[in-house]
Amino acid sequence: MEDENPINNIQPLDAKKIAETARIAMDDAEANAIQSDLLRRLWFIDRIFDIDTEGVPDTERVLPQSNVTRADEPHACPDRAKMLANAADRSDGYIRVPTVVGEEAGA
Amino acid sequence: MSIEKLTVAELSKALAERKLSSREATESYLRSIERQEGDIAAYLLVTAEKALSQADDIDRRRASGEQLGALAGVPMALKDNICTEGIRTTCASKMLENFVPPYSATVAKRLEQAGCVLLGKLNMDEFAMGSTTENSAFQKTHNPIDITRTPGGSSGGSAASVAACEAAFSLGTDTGGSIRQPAAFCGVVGLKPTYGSVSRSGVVAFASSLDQVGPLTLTSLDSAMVMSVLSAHDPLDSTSARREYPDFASFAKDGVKGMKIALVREFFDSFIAPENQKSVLAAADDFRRMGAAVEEVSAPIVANALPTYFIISAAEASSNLARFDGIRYGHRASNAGSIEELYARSRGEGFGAEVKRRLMLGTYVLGAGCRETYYKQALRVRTLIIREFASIFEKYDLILTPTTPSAAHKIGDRNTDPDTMYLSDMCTVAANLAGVPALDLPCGVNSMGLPMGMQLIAPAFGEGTIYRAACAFERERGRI
Repeated sequence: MEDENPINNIQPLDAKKIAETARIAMDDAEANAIQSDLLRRLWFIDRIFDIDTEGVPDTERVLPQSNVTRADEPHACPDRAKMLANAADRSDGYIRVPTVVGEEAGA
Repeated sequence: MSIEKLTVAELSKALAERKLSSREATESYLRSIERQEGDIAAYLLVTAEKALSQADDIDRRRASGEQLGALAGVPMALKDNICTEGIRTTCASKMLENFVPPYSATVAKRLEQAGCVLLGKLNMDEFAMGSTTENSAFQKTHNPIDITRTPGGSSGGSAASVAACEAAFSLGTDTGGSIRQPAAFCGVVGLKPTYGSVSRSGVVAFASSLDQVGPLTLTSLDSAMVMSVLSAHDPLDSTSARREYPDFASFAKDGVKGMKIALVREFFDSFIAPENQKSVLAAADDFRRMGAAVEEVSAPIVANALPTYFIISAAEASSNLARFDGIRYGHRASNAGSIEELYARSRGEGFGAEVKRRLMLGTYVLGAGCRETYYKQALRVRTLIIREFASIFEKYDLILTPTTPSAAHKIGDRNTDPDTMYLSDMCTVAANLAGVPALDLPCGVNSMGLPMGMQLIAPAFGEGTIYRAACAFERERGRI
C-alpha cells in the first residue's frame, strides 16, 4: 500500500532504467557515471522540500493563455522536398525506417 | 575609432547619414572575425558571402531613396539554436551537425526584414544546456577580456562576439540566465525579455515555459533598439502575448528620478564575491544620487529558486528533446535492427554528456512515483516565486541584484560539486520562472580586470522601466 506522504513513494534512481525510458542507448560504464552524478543533483534539488507549499496552486505557464489556435483558413503547406531533405534515409517521397512490425508478428 | 567598435546607435546614424555603407561596415566586421577567431572561437559558421550580398542590397535600397529602419545595414549574428532557412543550425550538437532548417525563426525573419546583415551563427552549450560554452560539441569559446577564461554560457558565442567587436549585436536565448550570465562575464549588455514578448517560433526549444530570445549589445540603448524590432505578437507561437509594444529607445532619456528600486538582501551574502557585491552597492549609490530611492527588501524564495529551475527545466527538456530520434532530421545511427534500437542508438550517439544527464533527470522527475513529488512541488514553488516578485513590485519599480556570484572563471576550471557548479545561475533563474524581464549591464571591473554585471528586474512587460534605469546608469558612468 502506498504511503500517504508522496515523498516516501519516490522511486529509487536507477540510471540504466531511466536511460531506457528516455531512449538513450548507453553502456554500463556510462550509466554508472551518470548514476552518481544524478544522485548528486537530486541531493541538491531535495532542498526544494524545505519550502512549505501547503494549499499553493501549481503554475505551469506564466501567461494566461491556453488552447491558442490559428484561424481556420487554408494556407500553403511547406515544400515537401525541403521538409524531407533533412531525413537521413528517404525513398519516393517517404522517410525510410527499419521494419516496425517484426516478421514473427506478421507470420 | 574603427568601424566595428561603434555601437548599434552610432552605426545606425552613420549608415543613415551615408557616412558609411553597409558593405564597409560588414567588411570591417568580417576582418575583425578573421583577425580574432583563432583566439575567440565565437562563431560556428561565418556567412560572409550572404552578409556581403545583404549589405549590398541595403546600400542599393538606401541609394534609391527608400526609407529604411534603424537597424538597416547593421551586421549581427545569431546563436546557433535560432533556425535560419538554408543555413546550417546545429545547436552545437552532433545530433544536428548537418541540419539545414527549411524555414527561419520569426526573430531571424524580423531582423532580416529590418535590413540587418547576418554575419553567421554563434557557438553555445549544446542545446543551451550549460553555463560555460564548454559543452559545445564543436569548440570552446574564449572570453575576449581574458582568453584563458570562459565567456559564460549558454550564449557564450553571442556574448563573446559582441565583446570582441565581431558583431554589432547578437541574439542569444535565456532559459535560466543564458543571456545575462555570459553578458556579465564578457562585459556586455544582455536582456532576457518578458516571457511571450519575443517569438520562440523556429528557436529550438529547451524548456518551453522558460525560454526567451533576447539581444546582447554594447549598450542599453542598443538593446532597446533591437528589442523594438524583436517584440511583437506572433501567430506562429502559441505562447506569444497579444499586445502592442512601444519604441523602447524612447525610454532612454527618461532617467530614474522618483523611481523606487529594491535591493534583495539575500543576494548580498557570503556566496557572492565581495567585489561583485561592492560593485552593485556602488551602482545603487549612483541610482540614489540620480534621484531614485533604493531600499533593501527580503526575497528568500526568489533567492533560492535553483532547485525549482532544475526540476522544471529538466522535465520540459526531456519532453522537448524527445523529437530528436533520428527519423525526420538529426543524427541517425547506422545499421539499427529495429526502430526502438534506432531511436536509442541515435540519441545515445547524438547527444553529449550534459544533455543526456538533463534529459535523464527530467525523465526521472516526471516518472511514476516522482511526478507528484518533485515536479508538483516545483510548480507550487514557482507560484510562490511569482507571488514574491508581485509583492515587491507593489512597492518598487525595479529590483537590483548582482547578475552572477563571481566573475568569469578559467576554462576547464569547472567545479564538479553541484552546490558550486550550479550557483552561477542563482541570481538569474527566478526571472525565468516568473516570466519577468531582466537585464544585465556592466557595473564594474574586479581586481583581476574582469567585468562584473548587475541585474535589473522589472514586472512583466516593464522593459521600458529597465531601459530608463540602465541608460541613466550608462550616462552617469560611461561605458565600463
